[in-house]
Amino acid sequence: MERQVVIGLEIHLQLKTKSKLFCGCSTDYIGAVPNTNVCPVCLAVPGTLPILNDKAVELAIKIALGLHCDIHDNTRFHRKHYFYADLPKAYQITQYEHPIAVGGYLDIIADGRPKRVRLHHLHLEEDAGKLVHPTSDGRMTGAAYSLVDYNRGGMPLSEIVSEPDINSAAEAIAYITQIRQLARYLDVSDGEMESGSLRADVNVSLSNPDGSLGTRVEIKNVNSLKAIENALKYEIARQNRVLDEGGRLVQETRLWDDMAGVTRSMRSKEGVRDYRYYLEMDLAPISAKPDYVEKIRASLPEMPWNRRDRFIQQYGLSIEDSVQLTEQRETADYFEKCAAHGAPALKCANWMRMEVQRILHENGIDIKDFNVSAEQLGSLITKVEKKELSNTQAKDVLAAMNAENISLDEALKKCGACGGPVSGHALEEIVRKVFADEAEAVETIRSGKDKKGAKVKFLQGLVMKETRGSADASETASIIQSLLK
Amino acid sequence: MVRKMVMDEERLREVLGLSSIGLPEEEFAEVLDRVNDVLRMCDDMQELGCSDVRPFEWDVRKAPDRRSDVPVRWGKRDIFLDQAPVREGDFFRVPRIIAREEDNSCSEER
Amino acid sequence: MDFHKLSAKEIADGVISRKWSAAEVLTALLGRIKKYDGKIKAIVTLCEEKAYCDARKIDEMVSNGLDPGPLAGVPFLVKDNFCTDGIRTTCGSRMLYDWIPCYDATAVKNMKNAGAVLMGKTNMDEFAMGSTTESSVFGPTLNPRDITRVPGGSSGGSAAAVAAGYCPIALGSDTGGSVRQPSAFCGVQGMKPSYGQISRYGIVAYASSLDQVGAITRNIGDMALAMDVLAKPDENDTTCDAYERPSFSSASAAENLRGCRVGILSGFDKDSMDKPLIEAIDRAADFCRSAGAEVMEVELPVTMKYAVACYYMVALGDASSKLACYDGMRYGLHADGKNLAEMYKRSRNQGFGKEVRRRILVGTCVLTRGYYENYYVPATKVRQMIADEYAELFSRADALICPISPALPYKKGLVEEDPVRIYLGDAFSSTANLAGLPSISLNVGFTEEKLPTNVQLIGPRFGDHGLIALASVLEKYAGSPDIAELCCEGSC
Repeated sequence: MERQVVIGLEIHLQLKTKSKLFCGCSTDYIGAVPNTNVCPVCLAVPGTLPILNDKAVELAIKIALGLHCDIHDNTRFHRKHYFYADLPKAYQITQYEHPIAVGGYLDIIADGRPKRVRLHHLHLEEDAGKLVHPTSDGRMTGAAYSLVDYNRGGMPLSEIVSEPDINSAAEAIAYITQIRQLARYLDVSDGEMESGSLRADVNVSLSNPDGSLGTRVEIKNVNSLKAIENALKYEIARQNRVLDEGGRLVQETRLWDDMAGVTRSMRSKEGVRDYRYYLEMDLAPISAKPDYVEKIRASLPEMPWNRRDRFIQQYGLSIEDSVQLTEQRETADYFEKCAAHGAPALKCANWMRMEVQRILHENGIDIKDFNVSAEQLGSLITKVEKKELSNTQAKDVLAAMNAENISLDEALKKCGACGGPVSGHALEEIVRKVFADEAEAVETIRSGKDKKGAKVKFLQGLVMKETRGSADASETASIIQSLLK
Repeated sequence: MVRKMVMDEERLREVLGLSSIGLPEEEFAEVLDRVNDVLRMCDDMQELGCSDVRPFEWDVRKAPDRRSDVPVRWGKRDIFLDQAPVREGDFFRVPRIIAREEDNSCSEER
Repeated sequence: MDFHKLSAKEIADGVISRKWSAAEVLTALLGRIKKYDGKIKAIVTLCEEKAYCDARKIDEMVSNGLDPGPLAGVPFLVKDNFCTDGIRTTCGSRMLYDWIPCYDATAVKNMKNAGAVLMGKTNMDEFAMGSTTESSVFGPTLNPRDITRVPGGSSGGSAAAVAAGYCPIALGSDTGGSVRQPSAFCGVQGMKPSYGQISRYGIVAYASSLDQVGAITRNIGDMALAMDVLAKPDENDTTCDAYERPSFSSASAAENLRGCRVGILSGFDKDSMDKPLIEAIDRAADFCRSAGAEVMEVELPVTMKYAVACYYMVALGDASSKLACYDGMRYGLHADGKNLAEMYKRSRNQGFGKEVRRRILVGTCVLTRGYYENYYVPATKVRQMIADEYAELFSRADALICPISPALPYKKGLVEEDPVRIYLGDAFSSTANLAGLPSISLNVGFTEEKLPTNVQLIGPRFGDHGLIALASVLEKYAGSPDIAELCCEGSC
């Protein structure tokens, strides 16, 4: 029975501010000693009051604009009440009835097909602390006690809630990947699932054959794209199985168990939890006047999808090249600077995709740590175009420039390539040397036994190797022929 | 639209859980009386038919500027931790957590 | 020198002009506390050493020719829900019985920066929930005017302290009358400024949208001085308005009420009130006329009918929320439990007194699904209607005079049972909090039994300056109250 898969995603992005959402504690909590980025406010000491971080509002509006949302002025914070060890006030300050941004959409490409995913809203909220459990696997089950670290408590989050427009695991992955890219382009968030600056909750249901919506299940604890993919696959299969067997699905929250590869029901009470949402009266309405919003809009960089398209149009790049080059904003910036420096765009693209990528990968670094500036790369490529340098030489030069952090000129000298390609007398010397080393092969050719010319090619290859590819192929061939006589 | 409600024992039990407060059975009746007295007083309020009125908002003279994003270190963290009822090294310590339903806004292992 | 009889202004002037030292004044007032407080029990914690340290610093500043501020050397007390760095802050509760905050409330900081010397913390109803100061874990405070009676609450300790002459200024917090009603019961002047006038940072919260810091003094001049010191913007409290305040002390220079329109509240059941308090209203109206004001009768039908219900919804709902952080984990009373839920429950049950637990439960009920939409949300709309009704009144009048309490100070242990009087009490005292208006509890005389009779003055939002001017003029006619006659045995 073919049921339509209906997926909605709630993404939490940690905003890249220096201090927390409601207090001045540092947000640099990864690797910090527990409970050092804390203060009376985020520890919920009696008498303290939250104070809203201006930058957090700016970043939330920034990404909301990137997602084509409408920004509302004078929205309010609400309190969401529940008791838990990682929530010091026993309520989370979040937005409930009137979030700061509503509507919007994100265009994605999944399985080669474009799709528009509508958004419901985006809102601001604070993060909770972290629990550490002294069990062998670090999980809560079976822990006799737990330890609480409030460093992360109070971090600013923007929650992006989509409409249930997603219909496959592939689309879900594409959606999350696109949001992550956008967040990084706008410098709003690191968007890393591994370190927790991007977290996703997945809602999935199967539509009934008559088209009506099925029972929705929420999946939590999916901490990587792979986990989301696997969890969705499992859950969709599970739901289909239950329905096929004539059973009924329960609206519930299930936890993804990555080790076992299954979702498990949380031991939850019937019905929905009562969070007693109500207005947070310690905080004034969030001012987001039109001119403030427009100022932020004017400061937005080019959107990744627009840049992708422009690269194809303006530079004549292929889709694949454009996608790869625009994946990170820094890479795209680098490419454009390089192309602006006179080198042909397609060549720049090629060099970046192949050699630069290789060097970055080998050294485990990012483009921002690459020691070769875009302008220098441009100059290098131009030299190759002008045939002042062979491809192979240029690769060596590039590697040297990065490895030793030297300029183009210095690297050229070092690689002995500033003289240009080997030719004429120097080339003849090299051919003679090769002939001397490979007397047997030369003999074979001279005695007429090299019918297919394999030995000639062999010798040619050696000459090229000696000259590190900088010799001209046809000149090499003619010198070899003349010396063979 | 007036909707008069009465608090009953079942709902009170729920509320006890939500507020993490215990109440001996003998005191249920007294508390229910009190709650329902307050609710009854508020039933009259619904008659006002004030659905067109906007909810209360402060009349502010001059709103203060928002806080700028500058991190500040609190120098009294050690004193505070020393005073914590149950402490283990740099952490606060809590006993066994069994009911996961309290945890709702993000994943359990968040 | 009878330092306890001096006003704050007189003390400060004397310190700055070196007529006396801050240490001298402190010694005298501490002596008074030690002599009488065994009976009155207004004080929870005395911080003598720190106080002398501060007093000596003030004296040093003066001898170096520096200006310590307008409250130079003036000893003061604060209610025990004001966080004080290094000094125990209990909120009258077992929950915070030996809690020592590591920061000062902004109000306390501002007082100290003005040269005032903190002597200690005063008794209060547990977590400010009450109107008699009988629910404190430390036991009740007695009314210095008549020690068989309560001082009112929840800032009963601060009001009693001022009435007993422990200090010229004591601070309290007012959520639904908690500064003004005890001021009335103890026969001193008390003010709740407009919401947003004074920073709430460091005041242990009861209800975020109702709480406000208030000063209790024996005269309006000191009240204005306290307002000048306390009413400032604060980066730690975004609900504290950032507007530039006028000088409130200049308001106490007002000479008459010519051109002023004063409304006298009517439309409530006067028969339920103690007669001397009705007479007090009449007296105040006469003073206004004598001072040249136009006096008229006004009514607030919506407010008087619905304020109490509205107040309960807002106050209790918020209280249940703000008291949720007491879970025995980071501070406060901790009771072990075999699991987290049990730890929470046992800590809270053992830490909170009965009344506090009741109010948390009622407040939680009010916010649950179904009740929230049908009760709490209408209450927020009624609140706007009340604010609008007052705003309309203040387009025709400059101030309102009404009772602060229907009853003279109650006898100790007596529980008011008359529902009309309970209702009136809540109605009179809570409307100013609901609408965020400034309100002063002004003493206008004493009965034959020497019980105080105060009236309430209410002004328009951020009209604190005008209200202080009105109170100033009325005080010229009524006279400012004397210190209560005390005796060690307490048989007075």
